[in-house]
Amino acid sequence: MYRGIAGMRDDLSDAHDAVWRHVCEPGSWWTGPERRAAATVVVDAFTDPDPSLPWVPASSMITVDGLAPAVVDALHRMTAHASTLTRSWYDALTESAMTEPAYVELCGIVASVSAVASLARSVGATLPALPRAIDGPPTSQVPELDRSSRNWVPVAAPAATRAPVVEALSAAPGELALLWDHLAPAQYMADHQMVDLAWTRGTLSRPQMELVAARVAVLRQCFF
Amino acid sequence: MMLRASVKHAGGTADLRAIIGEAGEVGDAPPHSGLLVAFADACVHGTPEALVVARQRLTDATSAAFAVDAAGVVANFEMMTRVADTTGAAYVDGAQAATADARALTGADAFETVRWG
Repeated sequence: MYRGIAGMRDDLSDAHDAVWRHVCEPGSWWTGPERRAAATVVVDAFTDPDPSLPWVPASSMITVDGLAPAVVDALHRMTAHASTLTRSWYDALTESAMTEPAYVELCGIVASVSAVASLARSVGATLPALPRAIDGPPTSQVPELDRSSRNWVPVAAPAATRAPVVEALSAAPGELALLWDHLAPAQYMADHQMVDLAWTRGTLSRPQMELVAARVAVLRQCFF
Repeated sequence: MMLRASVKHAGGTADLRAIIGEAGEVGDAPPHSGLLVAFADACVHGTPEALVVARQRLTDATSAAFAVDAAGVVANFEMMTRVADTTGAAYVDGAQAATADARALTGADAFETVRWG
């Protein structure tokens, strides 16, 4: 994906290639074409230098084949204005437009596609076109779910055994695996490396990595 | 918390002003703090022209691989902030108290996530 970019690591490029393939495959609740369409909404929202305001439905300006307007609106706001989301917004959406596990799958698509769009922009690369969607029904595979006071969304049972952000996508196993087994280790560090406060891959020191992480969280107005 | 812990592990005391771009390149701020903050800012909110300049300055001071890895961290936290915000992830027990000074410095208690409820 990032051929010709000086300093690019193969594992980082490979992880982002995996995202592009993954979002075009059938998920647990969304088909390949639906997931691919969702990814295009995320890319457009992420790369829009002047996105519409949070309360302006994106579907009033764009139409996306294969996705209901409420899904387009949700994807756009989750990408461009994530920090403005509220519990009441989540409750209304999952009562009217999709199930809670289906919503969690979209959270994973928003997060992983945003990572690719971010890196491409940051290193000066052009985002490649998404591959052709793979047909086939959603797998409907989902673990036994539990409620947690630490997330709006349901999580894999038993709840509250891991950090809230780690459990967050556990209702969507495919998205959870992509994020924690491929993306986080290549972009930042693997779970087992986080406990080693001196860990480095030879470029940024750990404090330098944490400085960048904290700065992005501040810019995105996220407590995380 | 991880910035403070990693600096402490290295034998220093974290100057959290680095997060808001006020620590400069002195004291216990990580090396190239100013360039890293400027690069992160350009990656998230900068114009294409500003991003080219910030990336080149960081590359000139470090290396192309360093700048790519910094961009990787930016990408990771563009990802993780969306995971946290879209799923309504909460503070873990004890984190509120442990991060009080950092939240005061960065204005985190007035972040949109908090204001919007």
